[in-house]
Amino acid sequence: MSLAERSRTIFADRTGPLVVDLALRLTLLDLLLRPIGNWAVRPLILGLAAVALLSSRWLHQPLLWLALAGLAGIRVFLDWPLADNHAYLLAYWCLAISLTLMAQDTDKALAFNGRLLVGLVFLFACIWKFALSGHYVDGTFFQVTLLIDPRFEGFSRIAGGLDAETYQALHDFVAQHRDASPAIGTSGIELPARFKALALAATAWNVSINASLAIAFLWPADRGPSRLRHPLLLVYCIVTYAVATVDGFGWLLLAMGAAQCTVEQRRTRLAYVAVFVLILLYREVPWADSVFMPLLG
Amino acid sequence: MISRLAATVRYWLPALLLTLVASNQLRLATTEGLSPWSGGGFGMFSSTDSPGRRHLHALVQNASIRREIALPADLEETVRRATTLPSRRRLGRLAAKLAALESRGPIRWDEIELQVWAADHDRRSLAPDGRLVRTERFTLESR
Repeated sequence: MSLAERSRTIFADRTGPLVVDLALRLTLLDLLLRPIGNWAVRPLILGLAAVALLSSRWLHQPLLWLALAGLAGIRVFLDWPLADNHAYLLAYWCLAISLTLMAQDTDKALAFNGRLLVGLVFLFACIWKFALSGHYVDGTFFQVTLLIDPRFEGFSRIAGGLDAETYQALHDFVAQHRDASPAIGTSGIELPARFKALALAATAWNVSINASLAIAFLWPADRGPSRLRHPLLLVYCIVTYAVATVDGFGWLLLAMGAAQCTVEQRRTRLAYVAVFVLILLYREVPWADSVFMPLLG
Repeated sequence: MISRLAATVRYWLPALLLTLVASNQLRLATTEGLSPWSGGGFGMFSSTDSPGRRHLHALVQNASIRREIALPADLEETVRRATTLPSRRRLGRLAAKLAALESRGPIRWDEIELQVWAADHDRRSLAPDGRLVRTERFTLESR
């Protein structure tokens, strides 16, 4: 038995053309809703994505997906080393789609690639968080990030119970620019208990969900933790992208997750579409800043 | 044989590429000071050492003077790349550009030093502290 055949039996589910089309269309929507690349690359990617979304003949054209993979790769190369991680993932995923559209067992090969790529993403994320970061598991990362990253201000203030003055004081202290000289007011800052609890809860949630996703997606199909992969990925996207506005990454993960639905899993497929739309709403309606912040005054 | 190889490539090539790039990112982060957030290793949101929190100091000196020089706004992109991955080659390219600008001035400089700093935080107080990621010196050719 060849390596590919063995892979199929270990990892692949019973999928189908419906599922392949959904995964491809979600990927194209990701490209259209979150355009990537510079002035030269972007129009080409947008044009190819629009054509493929409108024409089912082009949707299944491997060369079109190979071109998208190439353009996404060129973008990573031109931006090196500044490109975000999902720029790399987009190139791998478009390459996977291109390769699998050349195969007779497109659905199984695509499901296999989606499973492996999602699993590896979270495996490497765990390696960084658990082993290499040095200040993630103890909660330092979230305590600092919730105060320093402007994208989290609304969430930090609402969930952490910080009024505007306290938030600003903590932000100014943590964001000081120091080059090997002592920070000003080192002993004067006391983090509110509720904010500390929020940072610890965020750490515990992220550690557990990242590890769970890595295990569930790398586990052989239809066995043990693998059965939980869809709900885990959907919950991860619902929670994470409500706070961290990295919609392009979320949509890409959802496309790869959708590629693994079986034909019978109609509700799961609908859930992937619903969460895709939800992430769009998160982006268009900054709930923390626009809806809840005015209530805090 | 060829069809078997093609089938294997279809199933494994994207994952193999991801693993190779991410492993290389781990290597660059430990040997060259690459920011954990960058380079395709999926270390984003794992460390406070993000590219946006790194900064660079450029110092020129000769036998009698040592002083810091301002970084021109039009080199912002180059500086950002150099602080994200401060390899000697990348810093050398930036040093050459800064030296070219300085050479228009009245003082003759012998050396340029580039320092890349990241922000660390005390675990208990969160007090920020600078951490020198890399420092490189480049001798300037005489005019």
